[in-house]
Amino acid sequence: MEPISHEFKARSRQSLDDPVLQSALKNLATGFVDSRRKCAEALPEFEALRDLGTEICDHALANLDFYLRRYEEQVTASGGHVHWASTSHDACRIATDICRRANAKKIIRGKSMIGEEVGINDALEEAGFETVETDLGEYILQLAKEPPSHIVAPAIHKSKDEISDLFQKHHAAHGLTERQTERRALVQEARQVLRQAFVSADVGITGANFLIADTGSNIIVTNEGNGDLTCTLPRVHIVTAAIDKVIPSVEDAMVLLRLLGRSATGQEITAYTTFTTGPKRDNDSDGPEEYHVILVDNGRSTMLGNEFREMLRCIRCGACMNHCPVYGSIGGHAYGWVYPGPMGSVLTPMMAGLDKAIDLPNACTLNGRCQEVCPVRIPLPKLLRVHRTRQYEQRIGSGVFRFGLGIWAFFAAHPAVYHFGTRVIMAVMGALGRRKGVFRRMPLAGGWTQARDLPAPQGKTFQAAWRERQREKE
Amino acid sequence: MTSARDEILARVGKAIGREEIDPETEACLAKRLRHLPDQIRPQWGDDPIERFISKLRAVAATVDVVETDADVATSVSAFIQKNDMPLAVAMAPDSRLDCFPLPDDLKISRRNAVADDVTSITAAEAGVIETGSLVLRSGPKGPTGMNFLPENHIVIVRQEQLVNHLEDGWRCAQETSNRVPRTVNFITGPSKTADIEQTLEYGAHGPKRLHVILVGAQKAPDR
Repeated sequence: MEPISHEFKARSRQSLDDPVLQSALKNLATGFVDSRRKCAEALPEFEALRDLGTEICDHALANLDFYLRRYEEQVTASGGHVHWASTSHDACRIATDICRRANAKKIIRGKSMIGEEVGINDALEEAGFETVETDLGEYILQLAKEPPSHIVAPAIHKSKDEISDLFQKHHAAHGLTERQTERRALVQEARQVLRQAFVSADVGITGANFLIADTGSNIIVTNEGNGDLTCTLPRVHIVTAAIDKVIPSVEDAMVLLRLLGRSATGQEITAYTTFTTGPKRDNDSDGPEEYHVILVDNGRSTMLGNEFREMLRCIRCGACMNHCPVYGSIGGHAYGWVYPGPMGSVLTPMMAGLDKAIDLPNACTLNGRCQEVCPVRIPLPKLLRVHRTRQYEQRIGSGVFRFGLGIWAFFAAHPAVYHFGTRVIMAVMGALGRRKGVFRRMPLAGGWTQARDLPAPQGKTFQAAWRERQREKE
Repeated sequence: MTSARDEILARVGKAIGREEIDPETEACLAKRLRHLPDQIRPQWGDDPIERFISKLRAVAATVDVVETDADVATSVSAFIQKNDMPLAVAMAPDSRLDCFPLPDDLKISRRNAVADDVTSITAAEAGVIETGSLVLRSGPKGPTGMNFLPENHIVIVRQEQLVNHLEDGWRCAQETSNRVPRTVNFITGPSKTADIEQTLEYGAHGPKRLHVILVGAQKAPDR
């Protein structure tokens, strides 16, 4: 999809007024956040595993040239093919070519963020293929023609009623005309419809949670089992994965898997963790005849060489957005591209352009919760500040904002002027606000006082009060 | 014209500050592949068999513990009766399953599962005590479709097949020929989804029920 991150402010306002979304976000704050905490507390080794996981990712990135080559060798040795894509466009072209060569008609997909990033569905449909998303959340969004709003729970913003309507409208073609209202019945109906897609598809496309250099395997982690059917039943299996997904060995993968489920949904392990290596073997009674991997760069080799390398440790668990107060208020669609929340605010400006996503690095309170819960300890607030600095240096953003920042910089750089100014302001505000104790309105802070009152200061600055206290102590 | 592969590898090399990998570094990295230096694995104090069972039950799998091979039939019958399932199963063409007598009234097809099979029976390569996971591998004896297509999946695992950690489970799934199988599944509970209003439902695409028969345990803990 085309990034629309420049609409961030308008879309945020819409999100705040969307009751369905707001109730879903409230559930998220209790659901994923609580289960993650419980799961982390139940494992005494969790913090040590986070350190080790961080080390493993750093090691893999620092030696990515070696591991990419080893991975390619091993995939080839197991009978698979590796394709390299510098850009989204290349990745789509390669996937389309594979499907054409295979004389495919119907293509099924297992949920993958890289697929969303490169826009693989649109490309395949433009080329005349029929594509069906098989992850229930992604399937719902495909029917609704909407992008995901969370990287783990893509349809989190959809209510059961909306899903009932969508199924009734689209499943009539399958002879299912009754409007289902129970969750169980909806899941059952989707199972029935998608089962047909599974058995009739020619090509299955999945992502990969990890790629293993030592064995040439890819790992996919699901709870539904859709990924497994996608890579088992069709005669061609295509894996789309970013180059930073390569890790050295199965042992390394197990460390990261112990972090992934716990951080994402608070599960020790998901229902299905699957290692796939090459096409079916000679005597196997099922599995695909062809196995292809499309390795996508799309700006990652640039990030590897600059201050954003640490972002490439990301294992896409979604913990940062689950714990983000900004995401928790506006949901994923406001961010305007496939990656929302803190990780998205770091990635989107890198991939879509810093000038196309001006608001994202600034839509952050720098409270640091994302970094606190990130399983591979990515310093997300620091990386967001790097974007802010770059925006300022490249003169991106509104003139008013830069002007205000300039004024602030002047005061910050002249302490005497700053102290004098704040003393005057505090004294005036203290005197004006003495009677009510609060200000209902404040010039230049209308947005802030719209939802709350500003407490009146006591008349002295913090520094002055501090000095007095120190003197009293002596 | 250089290929996309060479371009990407050149950019990666530039980003990490080397055009080529010197032989010494390469040897070091190859050695690391064989041995991860720092091992941290979850530890536990509770009884391993009880832990395995309780981990599985915690994710809504049913577990029967039986003493002998002959007892497997009883567990299969009870599971089928309790859930009102048809008396027909697809059973993996795996000779390790031959020793288990099954109920006489059960129609048994020794083949891969098809889309409308209701129940399958397979043999696990291992059970992982750490997580309660069953390890299954693809091959002529164990088609992967059996683990996902039917609504009910019965997995038989022997007590001596229980191993401590996920890493051990992976090793058990390897063939002697040193060749990685096409598919290794770690299965921990039935298929589920929370994609509708963050509420759990079972049987999204894979089995609605996972029934594990643990054979050979001396003491059958209370259910």
